[in-house]
Amino acid sequence: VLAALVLSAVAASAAAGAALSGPPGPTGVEAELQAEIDGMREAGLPAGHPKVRMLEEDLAELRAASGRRPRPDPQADVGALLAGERAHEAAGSPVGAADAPPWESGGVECEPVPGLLSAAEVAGAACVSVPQPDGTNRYVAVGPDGVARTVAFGAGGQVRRLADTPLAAAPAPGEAVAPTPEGDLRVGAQVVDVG
Amino acid sequence: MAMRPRRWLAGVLCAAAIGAAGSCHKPPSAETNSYYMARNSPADAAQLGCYNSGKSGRMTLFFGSPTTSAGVQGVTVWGAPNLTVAQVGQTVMDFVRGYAYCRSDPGHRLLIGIGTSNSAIDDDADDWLYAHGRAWGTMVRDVAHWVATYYPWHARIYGAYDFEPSWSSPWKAHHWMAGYDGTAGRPGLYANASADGCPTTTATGGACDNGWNQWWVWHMGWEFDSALPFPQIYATSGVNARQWQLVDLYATVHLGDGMYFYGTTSQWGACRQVGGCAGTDNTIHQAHDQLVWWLATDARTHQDAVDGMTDLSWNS
Repeated sequence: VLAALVLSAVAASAAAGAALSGPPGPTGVEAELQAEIDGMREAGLPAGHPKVRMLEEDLAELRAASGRRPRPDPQADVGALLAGERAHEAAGSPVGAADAPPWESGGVECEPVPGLLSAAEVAGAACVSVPQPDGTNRYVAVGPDGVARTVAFGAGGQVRRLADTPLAAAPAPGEAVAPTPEGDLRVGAQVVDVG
Repeated sequence: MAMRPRRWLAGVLCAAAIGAAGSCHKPPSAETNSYYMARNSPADAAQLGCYNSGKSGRMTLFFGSPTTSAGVQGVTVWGAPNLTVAQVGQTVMDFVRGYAYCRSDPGHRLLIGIGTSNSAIDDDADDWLYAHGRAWGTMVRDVAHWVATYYPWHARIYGAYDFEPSWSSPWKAHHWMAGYDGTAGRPGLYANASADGCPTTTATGGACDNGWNQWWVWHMGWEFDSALPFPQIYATSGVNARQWQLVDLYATVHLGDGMYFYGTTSQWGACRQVGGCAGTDNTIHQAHDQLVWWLATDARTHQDAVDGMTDLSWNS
């Protein structure tokens, strides 16, 4: 879906050069910054307040930028980059596959997944990234309570918490927790289906 | 910032009138998207920038928690390969390239925050966190300079910090923030933060989760010169907006240094992707309007407008 929308955006832009060629007039963002500066002053912040000065500098730089021609980006071939993206999509290969493996395979540092896996749930856990044969991924936190908590990173931006999986036994300290080539999780002698 | 008596009634009427119909003022282009960046190839980043070519205003690209990657400062990325701080900067540059390539309205500009968080940092040493904050500030400054050189008509760069009380002790977050803030030439930093567990009825410096309190939230979200409050207003009940208004009121009354809010962060898009978030799926307008409404309930916290609004999704 994203790729289709990007294609539309590329077409609608009617020429990237058009966006790059002419200096813009005053922008909504400039008006917004000015409103923020005015709002801070009305709220009682002194003119010399660091945040007032910082936003005034931001605004001055935005305005000054409108009057000067940017240097051409020496490394930019964005059209080719996006065209390459489209080629990947057309070939049915995962987006970005030509650049790097999209997922780790193995132990990763535990961190919350906002809205899906809390700090309390990853505390003391062993976390593993488990790539799936279909190109998606499972982020699994195996807790000291013997429960595998899994977040699935799927295609098209789908991110979901899967059902928790109680292990037959909690992993012993230092016990190996690793993905299998089939996309399962091996915890010691146990093999756990992580969705 | 002791009192804010001006035009408060206009804000109340505006907020009261909006309901679900959307805010009083914002064109759709100003309803920006922000992202958890779980896919970071050059093509992914350029594509995402292109996808956002119709947007203009403040937004944030969120990376994971601070870590060491390839022997230098970096971030985790939820199961994707860790990135060095330099790779984060490169990803943002590719995002800007895609945005510039596809943008058709020359009046649009993105003010992009490059974000990390305080998640999973309790075991990190204070001086390591300080150094990571400095490395982040240096990278943000350098990307800002690059954008000002090559794409000044399209974007501007800021830092961003998703600090959440439940994710670390306040001191650990403080050390990272002190590192960022103390970096020469660092841009401003969006505080895309939560106020987990903070008081919902009092403004006396009361306790929040995990050893934080209203002072700590104010300190991190406002007292640092670079901090630009852009809070998470997720709860459909309005309680998050109420918590932030009370932090502001506490700071105004007890510290004589109330806050100014530059925008609101919602997660409606991410909630759709994850299959729902019960009670925490405010739309972008609900988040904005709740904060404006609560700020307007007291002349000491009233703010005529909260200009930015951004909604989070996963880029995965």
